[in-house]
Amino acid sequence: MAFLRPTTWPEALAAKAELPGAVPIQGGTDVMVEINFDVRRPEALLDLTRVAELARWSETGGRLRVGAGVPYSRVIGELGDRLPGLAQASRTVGSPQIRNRGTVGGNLGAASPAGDSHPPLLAGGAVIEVESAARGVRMIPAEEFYLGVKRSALEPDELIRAFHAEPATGPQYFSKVGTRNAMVIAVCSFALALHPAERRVGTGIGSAAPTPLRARAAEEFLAAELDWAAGLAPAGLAPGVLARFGELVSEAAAPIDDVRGTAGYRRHALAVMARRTLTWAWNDYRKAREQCA
Amino acid sequence: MAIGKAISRVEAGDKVTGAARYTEDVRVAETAHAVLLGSAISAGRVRGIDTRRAERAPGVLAVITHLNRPDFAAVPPTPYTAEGRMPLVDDRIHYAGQYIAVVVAETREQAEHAATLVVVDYHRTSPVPTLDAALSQAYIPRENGLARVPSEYRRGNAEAALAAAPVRVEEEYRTAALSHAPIEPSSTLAYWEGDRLTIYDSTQSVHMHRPLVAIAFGVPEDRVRMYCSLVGGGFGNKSYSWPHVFLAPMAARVVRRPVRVTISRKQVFTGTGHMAATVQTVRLGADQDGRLRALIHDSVNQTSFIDDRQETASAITPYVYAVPDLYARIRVTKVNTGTGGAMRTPGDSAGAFALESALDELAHRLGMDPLELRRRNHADVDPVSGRPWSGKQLLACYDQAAERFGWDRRNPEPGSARDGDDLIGYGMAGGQRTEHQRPAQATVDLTDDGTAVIRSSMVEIGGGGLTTLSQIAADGLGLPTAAVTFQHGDSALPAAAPTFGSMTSGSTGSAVKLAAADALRAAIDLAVGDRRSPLHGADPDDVVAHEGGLRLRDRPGDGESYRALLRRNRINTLRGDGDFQPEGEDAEHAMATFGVHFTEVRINRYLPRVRVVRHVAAFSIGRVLNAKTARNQAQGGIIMRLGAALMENQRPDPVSGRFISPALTDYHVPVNADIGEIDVIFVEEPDTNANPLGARGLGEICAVGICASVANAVHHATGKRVRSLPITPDKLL
Ligand SMILES: Cc1cc2nc3c(=O)[nH]c(=O)nc-3n(C[C@H](O)[C@H](O)[C@H](O)COP(=O)(O)OP(=O)(O)OC[C@H]3O[C@@H](n4cnc5c(N)ncnc54)[C@H](O)[C@@H]3O)c2cc1C
Repeated sequence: MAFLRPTTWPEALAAKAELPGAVPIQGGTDVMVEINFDVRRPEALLDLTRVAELARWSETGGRLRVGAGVPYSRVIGELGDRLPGLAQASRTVGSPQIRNRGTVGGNLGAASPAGDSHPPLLAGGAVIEVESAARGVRMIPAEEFYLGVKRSALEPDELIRAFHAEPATGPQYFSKVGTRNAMVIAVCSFALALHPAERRVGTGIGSAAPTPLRARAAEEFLAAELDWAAGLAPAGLAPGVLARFGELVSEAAAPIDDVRGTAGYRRHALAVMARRTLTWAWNDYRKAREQCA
Repeated sequence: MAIGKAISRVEAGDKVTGAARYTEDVRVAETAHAVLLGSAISAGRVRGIDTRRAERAPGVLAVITHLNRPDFAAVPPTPYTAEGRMPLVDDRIHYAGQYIAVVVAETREQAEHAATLVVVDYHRTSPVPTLDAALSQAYIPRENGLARVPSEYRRGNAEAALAAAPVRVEEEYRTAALSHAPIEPSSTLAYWEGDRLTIYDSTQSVHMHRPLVAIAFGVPEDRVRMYCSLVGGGFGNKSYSWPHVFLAPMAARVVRRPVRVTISRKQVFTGTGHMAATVQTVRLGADQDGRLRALIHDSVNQTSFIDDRQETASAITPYVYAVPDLYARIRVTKVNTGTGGAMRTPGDSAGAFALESALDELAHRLGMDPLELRRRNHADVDPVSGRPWSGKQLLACYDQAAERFGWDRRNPEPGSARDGDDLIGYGMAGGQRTEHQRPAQATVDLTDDGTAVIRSSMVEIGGGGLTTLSQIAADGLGLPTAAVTFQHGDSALPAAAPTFGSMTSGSTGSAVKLAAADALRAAIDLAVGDRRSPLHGADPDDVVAHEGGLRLRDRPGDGESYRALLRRNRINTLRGDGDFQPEGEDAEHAMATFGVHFTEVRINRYLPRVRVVRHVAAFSIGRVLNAKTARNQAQGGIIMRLGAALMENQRPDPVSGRFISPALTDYHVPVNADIGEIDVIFVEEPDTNANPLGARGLGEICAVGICASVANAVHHATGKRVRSLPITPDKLL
C-alpha cells in the first residue's frame, strides 16, 4: 500500500487525479477503523494532514470558509459563536481524542447517514467546496451532497476542500439520541436553524434514512406559522404548531430497525427532538427580540 | 491493623505507568504468531479448505486445519475445558466464529494476511438461530450439564400451594445474551522443550487450567508450567480454557517454536463465551399479608450444539426466601451459538432479575411496600438444609441502605414523582449468592531483612487480591503492608484457589492467614528457644507479633525484631505453610453472601431513556479486607449490571444466529457519562464460621439484583413493567 504525503493542495489534487483509488486520510478516525477491520485495502493512502490550508478557516464577505481538515475540537473552540449548531453537534462526537483528530471534512468524506455534522450543515444551508485537478472547483449544496448510504456526490478524482456557511443570524440547535451518554453513534439526530432575515427555517435529520436529509415540508410549514415579527408580543408557540412541526419532521424520515433502535422509536424521538429544539430556538429568538425592543 | 484499611492497590503504580506485565507483554525469543480463522457460517461442514495460497504467503510457517492437525492425546474434562469438543477435531461447524484453521507466521500481521487467503468451501445446513426458535425443544440436560448443579429442586407441592394461594403473580421474564467484553483479549504463548511445556496464558487460574493442557497433550502435569501474573479483566471469560489455549501448544509443536495466539477483539465476543440469554417464568403465590406460599421458577437458556451449559438462573431460588412450597428447574435448548460461559454472576444475575421483579409485582398487587414484603419472607435459616446461616446480616443491610437512600420518601403510587418533564422512580431488589470455597495453599516467608514474601499461584484479575492478601500477611506478622511482597501467578507456586467464583478472599485469603500464623509460630518458637533472645524461655502463647518483630503481650518493652532474630540465628528465611481446607457439605452453617439495592431512575417522559441517577447498595460479606478495593469492586459490579439493565444485548441474527454486534462499536457498555452516584455500604460481621479469616466473597454478589432494582424503579416511575432486558427506550413508548 502506497502512502502519499502531499504538502500542498495542488499536489494533493494531482495525486488524486493520478491515482483515483487512493483513499484520502485526514484524522483517520474512520479510515483507520476500516483498515483495522480489513473492510478495505486501498492501493494507496493519501495523507492530507500536511496540506496546511485544509486546517484553516476564514471569514470573508460575511461567509465562512472552513477547511476540511479543521478538527471538531477547533470547531467547538473557535467557531462556536458563529456556527452554534455545528459546534453543539461536534461536542457530541466520540471522545476528546476523537474530537481532536476527527474533522468535518472526514465526516463528509465518509457520508454516513449517522455522521453528526450533517444535520447542522443541512439546517445551516452549508455548501461543500470540492475540487479536482481536471475540472476545478464545484460548489455542492449540502442537500445535494448526500446520495446514499455512505455515498456522496464526490467524484473519484475530487477532494473536499472546505465547506461554506453563513455565520448564524438566528438560533441554532442540535439534538442527538444515543444508546448511552457518550462515545456513541446517533440512534437519530436533528438540527434546527432559524434564519430570521429570510424568514426561513432550516432542518437536518440524521441517522433516520439512507442519507442525512432536510424535512422540507416541516421547514415550510414552520416558516409560515412563525410570528417572525413577534417581538414582545405574547405569542408563544401554539401547541398545535409544535406538534405539527414534530409530526412533519418525523414523516420526513425513513428509518429502519437496527441494533441501535427501532424505526418506531426513531420516528417518535425525531418528533420529540424537533419540538424540543424548536422550543429552545424560539425562546432564544423571542428573548433576542425583547432585548432589541 | 492493616486489614480493613482503605489502601490503594499494591500494583497500581505499575499499572498506571505501563510497567505491569500482562500475558501479551511477555517476550520470548523466536516467537511465531498464530491467527485463528473463524467459520463464516454457523451450521454445516467444511467441505473443502484450500490453504495453498496462504501457505505460500510471506512469513507463513504453517496452516493447520482439521485435515492436517496432530491429534490431541485426550479430551480434558469439562467444565473448565470450556468446550467439550476439541478444536479442529473434525469438519463440523456448530457456530459462527468457530475456529477452522490456525495460520502461523513470523509476524502477527503476516498471519492475519495469510488467513484471508484461506479459501473455505462450506456445506451449509440450516441453523437454529435464536433461543426463541429453539424454545419448544428445551430439555433437562443429562448428567447435570456443565454447570454441575441440580437441574431441578422441589420442596412441598408448589403447584397445589400456588393454586390455593389467594394472591398470585405469574409472569415471563427475559434476559439478553451478554458479553464479558474485558479490555484484555485472551492471549496464550506456548513453547516446548522436549516434553516440557511452558505456557503463558491469560487465565483466572493457573492451577485449574494446567492439568487440562497436560491431559490434552498427554504429558504429566508437572511437565507443564503455566504462568499468569495479571489479567486485564476477565469477569469469567478467563475462568475456563477456551479452544485457543489448546491451539497455541499444538501450533508450537507443529512449527517447533514458541507460538503466541492473541485472539482478536472480535473473537473476544465469539471465542471466550458469553452469558446465555434466558427465558424464565416465575409463579408466586402469597397470602394477603404477603407471606409467600408457593414459588415456581423455571428457566430455559440457549446452549451450543457442543455442550449443555446451563445459565443457572433458578439455582439460588430455593435458598433465598422462606417459602414452604417451591419448585425450581433449569433447562437448556440448542442454538447454533458458541457454548456459554460463566459470567459475573453466573445464574444469579439473570435469576434475580426474574425473581426480584416478580416480588415487586406481588408487592404492587398487595399494596405492600416491596421492602416490607421481603422482610416478611426473610429466611432466618437456610430453607434448603435448615442449617443456620453464617453471618447473615441482610436485615441490617435492608435498614441501612433504605435509610441512606431515603426509601421512606417513596410514594408507592407509580408515576407519582415528577420533576419537570422527568418521571422519577424508586426501586429496590435483593440478591444472594452461595458462598463457594476451595482448598488453597500459600506460604509466607519471613526474611532476615524483616520483610515477608507470600507465595501462592493466585492470579490478580483486577479485583485487588494482591493488596488484600498482603494486608492479611502483614497483620499476621505485625508488619506494614509495604514490607510484604507477593510471588504469584505461577503454577510452580503453592496452589491458590482460582480467581473466580469469589474465592480469593475466603479461600486463598485464609491460606495466607494460616501461612502467616505458621511463620509467626516458627519465629516465636525460635525466639523462646534462643538464649540470646530477650524472649528466651517465655511461654509461646504470651508472645505476639508487633511492629516488625516479636514482643511479650503484657510487657511491650520486651521483644526484638525479626531481623535481629533471624540474623543472629543465621536464618535467611523462615517459611510458614498455609493449607486451607473448606469444611464441605457437613459444615454446621450454611454460607452465602447477601445484598440489597436501591435505585433512583429519572426518565424524560417524551424521550423515555432511563437514567440511573442514584444507587445505594448494602452487602453482607463478613469482614471487609480493604475498604477501598471493596468499594471499587462493588461499584464495578453494579456498573457492569447497569449495562445489562439498560443497554447490553448480544443479539443473534434471526437467520444465521451469528452475533450481530461482536465489537465494542455496537456492543455498548456504560461509559462514565452514564453513571450517577453509587453508594456502597458493608454491614460487617467477621464470619469465622465461614473460614479462619472471617471474610466471604464480594466480586459476584455485588452484581446480583441490580437489573431488577432498575426495572422496579422504572415501573415506579412510569407504571410500565418491562420484563425483558435491556430496558431500552422503545419498550417505554
Ligand atoms: C471511537 C469513535 C467514535 C466516533 N464517534 C463519532 C460520533 O459520535 N459522531 C460521528 O459523526 N462520527 C463519529 N466517529 C466517526 C469519525 O470520527 C467521524 O466521521 C470523523 O468526522 C471522521 O473525520 P476524520 O478526519 O477522522 O476522517 P478520516 O477517517 O480521515 O476520513 C473519513 C473519510 O473521509 C475521506 N476524506 C477525508 N478527508 C477528505 C477530503 N479532504 N476529501 C475527500 N475525502 C476525504 C476519507 O477517505 C474517508 O473515506 C467516531 C469514530 C470513532 C473511531
